[in-house]
Amino acid sequence: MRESKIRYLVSIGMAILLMVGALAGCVKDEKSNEMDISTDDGIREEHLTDKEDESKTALGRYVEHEMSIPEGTEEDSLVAFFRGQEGILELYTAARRETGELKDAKRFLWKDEGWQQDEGWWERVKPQDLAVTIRNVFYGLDGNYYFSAMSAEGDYIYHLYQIGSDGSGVSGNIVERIPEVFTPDPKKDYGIIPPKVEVGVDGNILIHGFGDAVWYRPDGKRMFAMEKSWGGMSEFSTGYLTAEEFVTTTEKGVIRYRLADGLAIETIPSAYEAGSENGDEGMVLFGDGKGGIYSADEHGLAHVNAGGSLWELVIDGSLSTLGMRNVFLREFLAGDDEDYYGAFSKNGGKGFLLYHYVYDAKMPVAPPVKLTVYGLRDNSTVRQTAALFQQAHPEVLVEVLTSADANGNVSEDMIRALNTELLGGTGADVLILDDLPVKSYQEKGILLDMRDIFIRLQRENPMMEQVLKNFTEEDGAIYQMPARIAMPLAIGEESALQALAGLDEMADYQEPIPLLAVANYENLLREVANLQYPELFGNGETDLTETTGKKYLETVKLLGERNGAKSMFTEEEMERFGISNHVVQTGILGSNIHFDQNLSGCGIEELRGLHDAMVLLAVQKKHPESLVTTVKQLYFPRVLAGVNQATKHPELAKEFVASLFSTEVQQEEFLDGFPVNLAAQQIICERDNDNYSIGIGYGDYHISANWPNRQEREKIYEQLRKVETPVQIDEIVMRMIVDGAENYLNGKETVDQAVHAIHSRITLYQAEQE
Amino acid sequence: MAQNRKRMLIGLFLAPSLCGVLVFQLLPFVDVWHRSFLDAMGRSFVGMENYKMVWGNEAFRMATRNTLHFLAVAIPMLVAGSLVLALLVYRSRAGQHIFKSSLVLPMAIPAAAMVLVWRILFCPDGFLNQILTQMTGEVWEIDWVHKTTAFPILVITYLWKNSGYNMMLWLAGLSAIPESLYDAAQVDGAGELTQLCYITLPCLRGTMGLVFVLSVVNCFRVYREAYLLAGSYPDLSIYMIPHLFSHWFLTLDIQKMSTTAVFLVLAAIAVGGFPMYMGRIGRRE
Repeated sequence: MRESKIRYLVSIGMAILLMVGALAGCVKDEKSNEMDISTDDGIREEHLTDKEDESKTALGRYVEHEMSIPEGTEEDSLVAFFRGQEGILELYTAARRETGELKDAKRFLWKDEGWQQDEGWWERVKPQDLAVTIRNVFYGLDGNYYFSAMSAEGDYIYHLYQIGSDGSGVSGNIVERIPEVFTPDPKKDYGIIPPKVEVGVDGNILIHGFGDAVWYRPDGKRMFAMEKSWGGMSEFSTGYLTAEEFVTTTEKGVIRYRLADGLAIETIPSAYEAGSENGDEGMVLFGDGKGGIYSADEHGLAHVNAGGSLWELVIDGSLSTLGMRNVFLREFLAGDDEDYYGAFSKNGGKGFLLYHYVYDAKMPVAPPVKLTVYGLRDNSTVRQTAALFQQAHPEVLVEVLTSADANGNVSEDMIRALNTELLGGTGADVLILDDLPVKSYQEKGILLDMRDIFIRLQRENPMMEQVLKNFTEEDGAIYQMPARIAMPLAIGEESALQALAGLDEMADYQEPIPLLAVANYENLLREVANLQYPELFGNGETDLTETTGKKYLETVKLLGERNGAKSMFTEEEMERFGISNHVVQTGILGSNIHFDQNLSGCGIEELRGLHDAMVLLAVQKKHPESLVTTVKQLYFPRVLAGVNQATKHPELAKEFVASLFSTEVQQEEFLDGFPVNLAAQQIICERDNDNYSIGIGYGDYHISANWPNRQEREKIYEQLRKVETPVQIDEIVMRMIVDGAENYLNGKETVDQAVHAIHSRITLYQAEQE
Repeated sequence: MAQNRKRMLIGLFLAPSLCGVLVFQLLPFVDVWHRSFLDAMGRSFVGMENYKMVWGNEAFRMATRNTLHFLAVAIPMLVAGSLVLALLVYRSRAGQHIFKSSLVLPMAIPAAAMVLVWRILFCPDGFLNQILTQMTGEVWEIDWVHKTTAFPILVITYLWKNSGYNMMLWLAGLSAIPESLYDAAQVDGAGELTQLCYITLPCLRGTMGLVFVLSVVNCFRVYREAYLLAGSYPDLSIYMIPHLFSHWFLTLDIQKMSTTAVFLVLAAIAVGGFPMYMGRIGRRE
């Protein structure tokens, strides 16, 4: 009896404990104000809440100090920055000619807290019998200095010179190394022009290529190649040598190769997933001297110990210049006192910045206030704004969050995750609304009215009036505003450009050459939908009627039959036609080169900046009779900024949005669109960028283009100022059209069947919104 | 006194589970019911507006029609089919374990893997089209999952996945019927069919209630297969309430979701009344 009573009491006790335990787990611990968050990229960061008690604030982080640069080098390009003999910091700069080559290289040594020039260095080291332009200088592991140069005579020959053990060019003989490796094959116009060369302890030479690095013996005998990430930069390559290893990156992560036999001995997952607009470019790797690896890029400086795979964040990129998108990280070095140095090129290559990173034990790990900016995809304008905002507000930590995967793909689950946060009142303070259900957010009161910001901005630093008007509600409220815009620009003869006026005109274009260039059907559907946006979608985003839908599909089919469109092209066809199966949201892949070859009546390019106009302008020079114009004054809004109504920092969030539209941010040319700020447009029009040129081609076709001159820049911006109508096709509707039209375009269905299927889906979608 | 103590003990042991139901289901439902009278962000009271809006919403009506259609077609087929399977397996002496395992196996197959196989079968250049092409001599390139044929495919998927589980429930019910009843019936000269109609089926009424409720519950889970098979906007014949929920969450239409949830609960109470009634009759007899 007594035993059963004990059992009874124990069971009651356990039941109570279970209930209390279960319920206690639901209670939020208000005292816990320090969170250890493991980010998706595997790096552990310590974040602090806004309510943090200062007495418990974690202290100690690296602080960035700008280093002085030598007088007279403000406009120079950075040639090299490294620690040379005896660990002394050395800086090499050169002025850039109008043709882009570097001239008059200078050498500076860091002594007594200042730069001291090694006068006459270039004159001493450069070969007197050969006119060369400098490319790089480095200190080899064999204890010798080297510099690389190109023949200035236009024969595209790369030269590597050894200049002795003190680098001055005085004490040692200047010797050219392995010239036979760089001499062009008699059948080719140019030889190997590596982005980077390194020399090992035994004098072996590592020549970085664009997809691999090749290890040569001192006598020029090729030993083996080691695979590395593809790098498209002509004077930059990621990787470094140690006495026994070569460390670089591949798609799988950071990789160590053994120099004895070229075998990969270890792969460490990268500190961060790719997925930024910059990709892997601009990543500097260097060793810690103990087998560990440092990785510096826009995310910050991360370190992994020898044998480890977990990266430790040493310097947060968002709190330093590393996170800025208008500068290019060229070199990052470790100092002697657990300090670091960083060298950055300015956009366009003219000018550079040097920074010293020193640990400050009294500096809070993170600023006390956190402002979160969320967008589905990474964006340079936002990153740049965040970095500048951070500098202007040291008390604020700006955290930029994105969801897209490494390829920039987004899924509905990402939007659901954001919605869950918005519902809980914990969403980001600033929202970048591209591809988010803005209309719905607006209706639900998620977005804050930002009219006060734009009234002030328009008074002080005006933006394009028509863009402002397009995104202002009838009652004057502003919930979203594009910080950048892109525009479709067409080149062609007048008759072809007139045929872009409507679906009927497109269908009626009867010239022997097809109106639009060949593309796969999905891109063609998207291209026509975007170009005929007002006709197809009227005033709303989803108002595609059955009649216009039928006309639209028939027009696309007609255009496709004329230009040879298919659902999917083979590798051989892509090579032959210079096209791609890659689908872009606007469907506009750029068809100027097809127009140039008389393969289409007009060429259409989605211009996101002057860099996109280069080929178009080059084509126009070849066809002076052709016209260049916007298509129906349409434009694509990009970087749509909004503020979360539930933000705890409304003023800061608004200020951040205002910064997105500031001249300082807007004047930077990224790949995400033209600025909307008028002053920034003017600055860009006036700014030269002489050393930028591109060449594209396929098969026997090739065209090269230079940066637009002043007149051309003005012409492009003149077109930009004409745009009137924003194109915002709902991606869900576009997807329904693409899926529904597939069978019709492949001849397996009638147009009525396809249109009916599409229309019923769109009607359902509309019904959901009612 | 002992009776009261026993009740208390039962209550005590049920308490954690009841707490879970209260905290994770009943209280959230009260919040959902409350939200069905508020605007999307729960800031202002809108009365019956949400109910009017949802009831008049064409997407809701279509989703409801399709869900009811699916229930009406799939549930009887599943209940009857799994009972037949259970009777066959119950009667078979040899290989009973193999039958049971093979029929329950689909429950263990992940939806994503199953959908992959289904795609291979039903896509335009899939197995089914190839067979039809060979049989008829004409080229068949029908996309079965994006046409009205999506509905029977989804029904087949549902039956294939849930038959084994339901069969196990029926088998448990069958094993609870006393053999003496069959022995007595055989002595009285009753045949197999008579035994089925007068002994087996009446004794399985309690199990039927459970099978029915679980079948209805599993019907709503078929969304996962429908989504993986045909995307978020499938052929209209398989557009069901979970699709609507998913889309409304994307656009933050919480008020519509809350209202629909209330409708669903009311419908579940109405539908659930039937098996409960059946179960009570079964127990009484």
